[in-house]
Amino acid sequence: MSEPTSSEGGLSRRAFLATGAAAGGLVLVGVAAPWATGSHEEHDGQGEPPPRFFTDAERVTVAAIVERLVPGSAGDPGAREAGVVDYIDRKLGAGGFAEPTFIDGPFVEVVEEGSTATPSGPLVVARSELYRYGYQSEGTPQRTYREGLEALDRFAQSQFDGPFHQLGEDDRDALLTVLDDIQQTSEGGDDQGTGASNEATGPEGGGEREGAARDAFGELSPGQFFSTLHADTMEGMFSDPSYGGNQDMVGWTLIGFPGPQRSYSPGEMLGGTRKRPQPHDHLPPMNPDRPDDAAREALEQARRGVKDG
Amino acid sequence: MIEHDPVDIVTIGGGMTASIIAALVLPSTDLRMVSIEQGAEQWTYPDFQHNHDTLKFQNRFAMMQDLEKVSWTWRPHEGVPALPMRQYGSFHPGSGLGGAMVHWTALTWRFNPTDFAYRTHHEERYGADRIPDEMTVQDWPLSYDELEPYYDALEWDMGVSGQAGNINGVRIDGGNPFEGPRQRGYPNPPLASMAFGELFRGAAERLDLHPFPTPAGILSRGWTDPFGNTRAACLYCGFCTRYGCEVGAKTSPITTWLPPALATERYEVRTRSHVLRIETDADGRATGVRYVNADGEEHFQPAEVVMSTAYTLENIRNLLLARSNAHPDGIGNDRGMVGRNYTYQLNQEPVQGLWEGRNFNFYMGNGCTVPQVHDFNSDNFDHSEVDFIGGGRLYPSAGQREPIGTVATLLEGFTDRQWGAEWKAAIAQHWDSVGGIGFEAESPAYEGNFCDLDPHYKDAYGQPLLRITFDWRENERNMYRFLTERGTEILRAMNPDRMTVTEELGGYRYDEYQSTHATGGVIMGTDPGNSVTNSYGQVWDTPNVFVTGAALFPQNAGYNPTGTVGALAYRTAEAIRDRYFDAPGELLT
Repeated sequence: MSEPTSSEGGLSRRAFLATGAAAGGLVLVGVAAPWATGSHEEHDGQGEPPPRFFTDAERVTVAAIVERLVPGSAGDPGAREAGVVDYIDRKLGAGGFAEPTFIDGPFVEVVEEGSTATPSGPLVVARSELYRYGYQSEGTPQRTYREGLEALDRFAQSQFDGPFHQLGEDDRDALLTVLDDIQQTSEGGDDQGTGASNEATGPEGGGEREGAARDAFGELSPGQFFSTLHADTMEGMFSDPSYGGNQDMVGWTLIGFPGPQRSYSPGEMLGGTRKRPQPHDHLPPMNPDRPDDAAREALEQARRGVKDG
Repeated sequence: MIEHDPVDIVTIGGGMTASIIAALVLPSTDLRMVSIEQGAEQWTYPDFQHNHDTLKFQNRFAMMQDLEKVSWTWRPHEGVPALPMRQYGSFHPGSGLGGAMVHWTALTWRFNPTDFAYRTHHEERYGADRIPDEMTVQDWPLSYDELEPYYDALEWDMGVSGQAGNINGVRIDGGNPFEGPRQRGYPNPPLASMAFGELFRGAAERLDLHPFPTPAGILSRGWTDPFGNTRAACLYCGFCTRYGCEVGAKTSPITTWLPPALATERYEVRTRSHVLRIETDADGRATGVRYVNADGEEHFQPAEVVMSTAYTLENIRNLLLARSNAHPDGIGNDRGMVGRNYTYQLNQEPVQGLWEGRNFNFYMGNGCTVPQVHDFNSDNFDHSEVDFIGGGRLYPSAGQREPIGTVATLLEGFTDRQWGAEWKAAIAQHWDSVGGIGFEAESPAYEGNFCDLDPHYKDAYGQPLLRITFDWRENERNMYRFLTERGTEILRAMNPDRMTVTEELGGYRYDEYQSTHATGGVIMGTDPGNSVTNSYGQVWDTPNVFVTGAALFPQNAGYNPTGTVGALAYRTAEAIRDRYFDAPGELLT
C-alpha cells in the first residue's frame, strides 16, 4: 500500500518557492527552453523535469489570458506571478486527462436550434440541452488548448487586428468576456449576459462578437475553452505548490487560507486561528516518535484476510 | 477460469454493508465469507497520514470509482438519448476497502416514522387524492418501531456524536423534537459547533424553529466501541468529505467492522477485483460470482448466498446483468420490478449571504460541525395549504471550505464575473465571509424515473452500462420554492450585509455535483407485485440473493441515507446469522 509521504526536503522547497514568483515573471518576455522559466522541479534534485506541453508562443498566449483572469503585480500577485502557466503546462504535459474520464464512444451529435439537417445516428442532443450532460467532447484537454489558443488568436485578429497577447488589457478582457458569456448562455444563462458584459463588449453588442467568436472557434466550443482555462487557472492559483502553481502560497495568502493543517480546536472554530500558511509537505508526520515498521503494528492489529484477488 | 472453494456468503463489494454482515454474522457462527472489492486495500495508518491534498482528492477523485472502466448514462426522459457521465458530476461513488463510507461526510440519521408508512400516512392525513397519479411512492415493508433496535445498535457501534431529542417518547431539550422515539441517547456528545453555525442557531431560535446539533458518525471524544476498537476524537482538520480520516475519528468499516470480521479468520476481502456477474443454475438459483482480478484473470467464487453490497447503481446493474434462461431479464426482474422507483436527493444551497468584515473560519471543521432545523422535513409541518408533499432539512454552510472548488462559484450573485480585478478583490476580502442556507430534501418516486441497461454504451469489460432516466417534477419545484423561502427567512434573521437567492429549481443536471444519495431501483416491499425484495433485501424470485444499501428504499426521504442503510444491514445480518441457514434458499419471514 501507499507509504506516508516524506516530509523531508521542506527547507529546500521553501528556498525554491521564494524564487518562484520572479521566475514566473520571465514568461512574458520569452525564454528559449520551455522549462527554463520554471525551476521548481529542481527542488528535490532528482529525476527529469516533468514533461511540458506548450510551445513558447503558446506559453505567451496562456500567460496573457491567465493574467487577466487573476490580475496581479509584484506586490499583489495574480495568476502569472503564482506560476499558473507552469501549472497548466505540467498538467497537460502529463498527457491524457488529469481526472478519471470515460472516453469510449459513441459520441453525441449536437444539433443547433432550428436545424433541419437529418442526424446520422441515434445520439442527438440539442445544443441548448448539452450542458446538462456534462463533458461530452471527443477531444482531449491538450487538443482543447492547442486548437483553442489558435482560435483565440483568430478571434483577436478579427476584432482588434492583432494576436491576443499583443492586445491591451481592456481588449483582452472584452474578448474573454465574450467567451464567458457564451459559456454562461450554454448553461441556460441569460442570452444578454450581465450588465458588465454589455458594457465591456461596447457598442457593437454581444451578439455580433459572439458570432465572430463562434466563427473563429469553428468546431471547438468557445465556452468550453473558456471554462477549461478558468478552471485550470483556479486550480493553478489555489492548489498545493508542489503541483507547480500557487508559488509561495500566494493564492492561499490572497484569500486567507492557512493551507493544510493537522488540527483546529473548538475555540479556533469560533474565534479564528493564528496558524500560518504551510504547504502540504510541511505537515508534520503523524506519530513521529515511532519508526515506520513499529508504528503500523502499534496502530493497527494484523489485518490478515485482505489481499488482491 | 480459476474456481475457488465454496463459501457460505460472497458479497459484491467490500464496503459498509459487507463489513457489517461479516462483523455481525461470522464471530458467533462457523460460516465463511468472501467479499470481492474493485478498489485497493487501505487503512487509517499509513494510507491516510498525509492526505490533505485538495487537488488529488477533490478535483482528481482519488478515492472514487474509476470512470475509465465503468460509468452510467443518463437522460432526462424517455424521449431523448442517454449519454455517459464522462467526468464526475452529479454523484461520486467510492471505491477501495471500506467503500464510500471511508470518505463520507458522516451525517447519521434515522428516518422519521412517517417516512416508512409513506403512502398510508399521506392518504390518511391529506386524502386519497393528494398523491399525484404519476407518483409511485409506497409504504416501506417495515415500520420505524421495527427498525429502532437496529438504529440503536448501529449508533452505539459507530459511537455517533449527537444530542437526542426524544427518548422513549420524552422530549429532550436541545435535540431534534421531530425525531421518532429512541430507546436511549447517543453514545457521545455532539461535535463542537462553528461560528456560522452559532449565528444560524440564534436566528433559528428567534424564528421559533428548533435547531439541534447534527448527529455525526465522527467521534467527539476518545471511544472504545463494543467490538473493542479504541479510537481517537475528531481534530476538526478541515479535510473530511472525500478523504480518509487520519486519526480514525470518522467511523467506517476500517475503524469499526473490518477488525472484528477479519479477526475470525473466516473472512477474506479480495481487492482490485471486478465482479462480472452473478451466476445462476438451471433453476435460476444463484451459484456464486464470476470476477476479474487485477491481473485480468477470471475467477469464480461459488457460495450459498450471494449479496450485492455495492453502490445503488451497481446493485441495480448486478441484477440486470444476471440474465439467464431462468431469469431472461435478470435476477429479481421476473415481474419487471428492477430499476423501478429510482430516486435521488434534492440537495441545494439556494440562499447566500455576505457579511462585510466577518471571518467564519469555514476552512476548519467538517460537514457535521453546525446545527440544523427539521421543522420543514418529512411531514413535520402541515401540508394542507402547500402545493407539494415531502420536505427537507435546512442547514447552514458547514466546515471544510477548500479553496479550489469554492473560489470560482462562491461569489456568484455578488460579483458580475468570477474572474478579473473586481472578482479578485472581492474573493480576497470575502472568501471566508460568504455563507448560505442549504437543504437536503425528499425525492419522491415516479413512473417516469427508472433505470435499465443502456443500448449503446459498454464498460471496459464489454457489459452494458446502467441507464438512468430521471428528472425533477412539479412537486420538487414547489418544494424547492417553499424551502428556499424558509431558508431566506433564516438567513435574513442572520443579518447579512448582502444576500442572493436562486428562487427556482431548474432541470436535473448530470454535470453538477449534488449528492451521492442515489436511491431505489431494487426496492423492498410487502410482496413480489410491488417490489424486488422483502424487508431483508432478499430477492423474491431468487431467495439466495440479497441486496443491501439505499437501492432498497421505496423512495428517498430528506435525510442522508447511511444511518438507514446501516440499520437495515444490521437487521439483515441478524436474520442471516440466526435463521437463514436453518432453511437455505427459503424466503425469510
